[in-house]
Amino acid sequence: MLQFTEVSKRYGPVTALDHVSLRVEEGTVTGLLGPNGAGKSTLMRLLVGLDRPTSGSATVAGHRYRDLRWPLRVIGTHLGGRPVHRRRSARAHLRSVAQTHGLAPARVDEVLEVTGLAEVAHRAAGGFSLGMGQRLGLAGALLGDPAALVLDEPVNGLDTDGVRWIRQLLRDLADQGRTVLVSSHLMSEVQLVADRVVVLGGGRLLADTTVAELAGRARDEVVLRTAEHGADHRLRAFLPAAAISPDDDGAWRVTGASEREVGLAARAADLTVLHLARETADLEAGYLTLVGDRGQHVAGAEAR
Amino acid sequence: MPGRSGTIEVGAAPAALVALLRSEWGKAWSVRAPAACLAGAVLLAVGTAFTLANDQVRAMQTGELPAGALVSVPEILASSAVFAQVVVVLAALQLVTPEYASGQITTTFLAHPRRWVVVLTKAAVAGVLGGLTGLLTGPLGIAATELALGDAPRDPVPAPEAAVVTAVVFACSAMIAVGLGFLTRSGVAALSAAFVLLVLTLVAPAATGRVFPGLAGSALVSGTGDPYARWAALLVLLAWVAAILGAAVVSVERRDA
Repeated sequence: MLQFTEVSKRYGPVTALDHVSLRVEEGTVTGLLGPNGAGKSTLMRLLVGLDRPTSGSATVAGHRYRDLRWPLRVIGTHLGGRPVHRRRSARAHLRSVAQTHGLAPARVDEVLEVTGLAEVAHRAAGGFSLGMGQRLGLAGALLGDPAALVLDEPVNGLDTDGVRWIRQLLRDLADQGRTVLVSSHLMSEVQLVADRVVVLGGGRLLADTTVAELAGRARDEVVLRTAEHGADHRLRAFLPAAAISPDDDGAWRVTGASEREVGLAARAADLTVLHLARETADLEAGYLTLVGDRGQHVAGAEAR
Repeated sequence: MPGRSGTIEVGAAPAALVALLRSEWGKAWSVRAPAACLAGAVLLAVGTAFTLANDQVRAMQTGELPAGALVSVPEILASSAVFAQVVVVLAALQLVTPEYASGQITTTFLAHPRRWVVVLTKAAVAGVLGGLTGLLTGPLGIAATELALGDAPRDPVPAPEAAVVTAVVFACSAMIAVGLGFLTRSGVAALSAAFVLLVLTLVAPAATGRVFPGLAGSALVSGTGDPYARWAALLVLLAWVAAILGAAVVSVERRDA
């Protein structure tokens, strides 16, 4: 549905995207992850024709965005911020957008209702809070009842209710067979809502996989806290295959052994166990494994 | 019906253009600034015409002007139009530069990604608004002049003629303003550029000034043949409209939004 083919984008000397190829499928929520400056927003802007790729191409349902006659019926976009004339009311803003696609005013009232803005629709958008601005952006994206949605950090500034609402909304949209591409820096949000994750780093595609697979890249850890200092030397004798490292608050993090094995080793090493627990790898851990590795790799490459 | 299950329509279509025009026309009226500016332009023109005509009458009474000299209504009309034109420019800029300031322009380009069409549509809307304002300003300016002149001898201008020439000049100024708005993406920069092109060039030596739209507009309104005839003035004006909108289209298509 959304296809990027060898897309590169340079802004002067800065390479924002470097030969990224990616396909975002219908009926899925795809989370777009990456550190600041990884190229997430650029990828979205290229898709909807706001920026032009230096090379490569991006298409929506096989067409360049600018060739779409009624683009908002094909793909709804909210790139954050509040791209609205500050003095115009929310309703007047959405009506002006609806008019470009011959959509009835009733459709405007529908999306105002869905996004919870009906009560404030007469107010000038310039006075909206961050959360209301996000809802207005979403209302604009939903206006054309599009088959695909591209949302840049849509939960920024939303309250707890808003976050839950948007989570359900994205899930429902995907279940209706629509394509959803959503960027976020909140790993927990992405883990809850996304089927797939795409990770960008330094303008390159680092991963395009399922949430479960990326989470699985980080290994589970066993956290052990003991009364004695220097416990790692004594443990190693009984856990030769495991990796043991200290964490920030004086506990030991063990990978490559179960909590049973760690517990037995602690007993054999005559250690007093204060705390022993397994920490399941989550998306954040998987992401950090990936981006951390990559960061070192890039730093190493630059040093050469 | 395009959508999830339907086929996706591609390419330009008259229906999409009409829809964009409706949207842009509606946007011009859904904030107060453009209408307020246009009303201001009319008032300014009328006030200026009245004041200038009144000055002429005074000059005759005090003997500064020889008694029996003809008051040139065309020149009064042209001078008042030049002032009011700046406010018409301000109104036209309201269709463009606040969109860049607020980021609304991305919404506009997302809804209609063929950007050159957006530029020309906004120019058309601004042109119509400017034209309608001119249609009103011309005859009202004449009426104010007549009122101030009383029974002083004059070189008159028929109201319909004043309406048409003022409308053409205001429409052209508004379209030039839209082009400058897209070129500079800044209200202050665009207004400054418009002021230079339309007003400052009036005080330049005629040999230089005559190639600029300010003097062309003045010559078109007055019809006095100074520095050239109306048809020549119209050509100069239209050339500026075409050049600036052409530059705006090229710039908007080449830049990232």
